[in-house]
Amino acid sequence: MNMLRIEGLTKVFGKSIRAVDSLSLSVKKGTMVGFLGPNGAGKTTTIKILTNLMAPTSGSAYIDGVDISRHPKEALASVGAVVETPEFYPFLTANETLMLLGRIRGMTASETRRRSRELLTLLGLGDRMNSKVGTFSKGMKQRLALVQAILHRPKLLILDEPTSGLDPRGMVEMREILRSLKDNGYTIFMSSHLLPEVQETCDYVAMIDSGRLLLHKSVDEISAMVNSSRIEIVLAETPSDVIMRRISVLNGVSDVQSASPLKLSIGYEGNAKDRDILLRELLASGLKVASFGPHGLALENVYMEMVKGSR
Amino acid sequence: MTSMTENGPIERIPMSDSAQVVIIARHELTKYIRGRRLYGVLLIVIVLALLLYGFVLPGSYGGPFAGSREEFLHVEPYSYEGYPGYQSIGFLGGPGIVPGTIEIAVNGSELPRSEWLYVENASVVLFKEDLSAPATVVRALYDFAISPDQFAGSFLDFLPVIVVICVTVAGADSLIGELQAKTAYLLFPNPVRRGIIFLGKLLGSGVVGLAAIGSFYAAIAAFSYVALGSVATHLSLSFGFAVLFLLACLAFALAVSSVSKGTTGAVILTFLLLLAIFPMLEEAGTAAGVKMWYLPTFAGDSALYALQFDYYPKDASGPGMASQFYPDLGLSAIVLASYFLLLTAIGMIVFKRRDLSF
Repeated sequence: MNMLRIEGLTKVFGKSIRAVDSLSLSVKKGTMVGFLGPNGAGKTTTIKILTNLMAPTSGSAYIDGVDISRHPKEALASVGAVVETPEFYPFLTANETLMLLGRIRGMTASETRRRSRELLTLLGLGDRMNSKVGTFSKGMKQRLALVQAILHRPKLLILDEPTSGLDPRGMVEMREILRSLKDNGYTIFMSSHLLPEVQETCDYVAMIDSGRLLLHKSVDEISAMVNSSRIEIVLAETPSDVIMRRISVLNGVSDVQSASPLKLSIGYEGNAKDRDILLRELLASGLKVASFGPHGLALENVYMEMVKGSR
Repeated sequence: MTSMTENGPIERIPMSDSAQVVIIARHELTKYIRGRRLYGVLLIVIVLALLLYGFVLPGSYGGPFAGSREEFLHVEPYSYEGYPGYQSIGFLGGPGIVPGTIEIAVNGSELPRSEWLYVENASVVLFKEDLSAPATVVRALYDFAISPDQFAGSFLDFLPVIVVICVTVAGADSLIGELQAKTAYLLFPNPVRRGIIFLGKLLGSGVVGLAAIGSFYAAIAAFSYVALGSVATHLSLSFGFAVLFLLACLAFALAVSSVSKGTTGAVILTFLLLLAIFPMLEEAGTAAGVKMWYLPTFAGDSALYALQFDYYPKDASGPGMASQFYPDLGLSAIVLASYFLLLTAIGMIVFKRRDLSF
């Protein structure tokens, strides 16, 4: 069952700028989808259409089966969103902001108060709930933006760069929260520039460039797609010349580079199964392996290839 | 910040449109209260009313608002066709003239009533003789009494200024302000129709305007009672027209706000159109003998003339005389209501279709 369905979505600015071009994709209920693309790819425009901030030139988008353009009120009842850098009313406190939004979304005053207190405390804003938002830092505003998005427990979360403006600790915590939300059955559609973040947290990845969908696959499928890559091996012991010679003639190995006495980088062609065989052969050849993994991220490799290919 | 204790998403039914209008309006009002705009507008109204009562009116009417006054008239030849048989015209300057008490003396001798005519709506005296010679001294003596209508009318001359200040301060930037400050990204992706946001803002701004003109009328009534012991008979009718004028101007301001690209432009355009350009068009039309009944500012003058409901002035226009036009009350009510409804509808449609590309 799809929570979000986009069909042939197109947005043309002026006469010729196609920000989104016949975009079609769907997001299954309870999954987390990373929406990737370079600057100007059409991510934010798509998100603006999905949140009724913009009307599409053609095509449709459905949230839980409801057409956003035709029935925005009904469609957005299922949505919690953070779009662009969040700005708040500076004259309202965090509690008042959440009360305004909670009431608009159909929450009772007592429910809104209870949820606000719970979420603000959870996101580290418990001691600022009665402070004017005008006094908040960018990171605090970003946290408040997430609080307001999940305040009414929506079925679909649409997040535009949710970790933007957060410090490293905040980013880790935000990822934890997103994972926890997904585990609780929320569907999350999230744009990001941070590929490790997407690879770590998302189930699926949709990549766009120049408004067109380049790829829409699960993170596992993307990892399996990577046949040609480099493998990084951290060693417990510096290998002898004999061992190095043995490694360089193993099946699939194109080159062996010694980055440091205890680190090797191996050029290797093969899928996940082949890499399993390679690891066994490395151990059999006498190499003392402390860690073994791809050099760089699978998603990063695919992203670079796809974006390069589309330009 | 640690792990979430979420219970999962739930199905939720958004609030009704009418309840959302009230919530948006309350939010808008909070903005005006905390931003001190409401207090600013009320302060302007109170200071203006006090200045008029304390300084301007006594200066114009001469301290106590009733008594006798002597005036030396400036007289010039009268050669128009409006009143045949009259040779010269003299201008009376004082307000509140009681027509039956006027006595005219020429070079110290009383001029019989059959020799002159007082034209009340123009406050002039026409003479059968030519008294325009510089050596001729024409003196008028009359009683004056400021009626509650005149008293209120002196205040209501400033009503357009108050209304325009209100809609400029609370209204002109309310829609474009959301876009420019990017708070629209917070408010709009919610289960609330854009039209409802528009109406909520209209209601919130309307309350500010209503508070301002309500205070102004309350001050007029209070001062009139203190100074004259009574209040203009049709002050409530006038207030009704003032509210209609406020609504028309507010819809105008919001329509401008919905199409504008920036708050400054919206504020300046609203202020200039309502306070300068429309009144200038009115003046030009009157000078050309054209009654511009369809302009909101002309129709808005009904709030002033409604005070004279029982003795409503008539239009004067024709060759050889300066035109004077007065708004027809029924027609003005229709014009103002039409502006309100039409501009609200246009503003809502434009606002609904507007993309957020800031």
